[in-house]
Amino acid sequence: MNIDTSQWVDEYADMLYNFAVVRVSDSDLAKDLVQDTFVSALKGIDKFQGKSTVKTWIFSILKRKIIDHWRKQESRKTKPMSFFTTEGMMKGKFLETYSPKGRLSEVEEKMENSELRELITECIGALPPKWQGIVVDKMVDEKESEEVCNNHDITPSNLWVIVHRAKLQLRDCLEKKWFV
Amino acid sequence: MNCEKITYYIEKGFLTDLKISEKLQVKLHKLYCQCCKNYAPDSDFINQILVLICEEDTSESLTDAEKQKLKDALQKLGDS
Repeated sequence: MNIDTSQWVDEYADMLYNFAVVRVSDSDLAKDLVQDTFVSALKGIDKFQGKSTVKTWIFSILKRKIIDHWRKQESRKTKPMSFFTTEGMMKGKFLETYSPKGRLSEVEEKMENSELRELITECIGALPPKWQGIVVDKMVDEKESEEVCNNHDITPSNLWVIVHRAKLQLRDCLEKKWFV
Repeated sequence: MNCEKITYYIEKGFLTDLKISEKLQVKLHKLYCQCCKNYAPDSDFINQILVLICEEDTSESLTDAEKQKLKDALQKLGDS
């Protein structure tokens, strides 16, 4: 079979790269994944039966590779930030510097979607790497929790804890970036 | 006054059904805690804007040199 792989690169490389980079949050790794995806596609071209479009098929290969990467990532290496008092009668209370002001939704009125997108992407980038993939998989791609747990090799309670921690950090990041 | 636990329930509530006792704790706590009362809509707002991330698909692109490298690698593989 004669395949025009140059055309694949022209058509899909940027799309694949953008898809990968927000999910693995490492541009070099994303580039490697794109190359691996094309290589796997070319090697497995016999298995492509034309049941889906080439684009769908190539993306499914990339998605599989991203999941393989996620499953290899360690989840317990980072010490989470604490937003709460850890001692005394008021244990578990929001620390003054982190207390939510409740003004985040004002941001929406004042900012273009593109600016908002940049801001949230930046705040996601500050999360521990393992959490970034989980947040994007669950909250951006809006997958079922069961699938997300499976993709990242975590339990449902791990997922709740990580999402809680990540959301606390994102909320604080957005508030500080916007209001300070 | 355990905002850590309450915000955890708030987040868990977005992902799964809370137990009645958990729901009640959140409700009661928010009656007297302004922080957590503020937290809930903020958190919901974040859920809403997170989906923006995928809106524009090609904000970044590979350089021509990187693309050429990919093309060459694939060409070599195809020929062999």
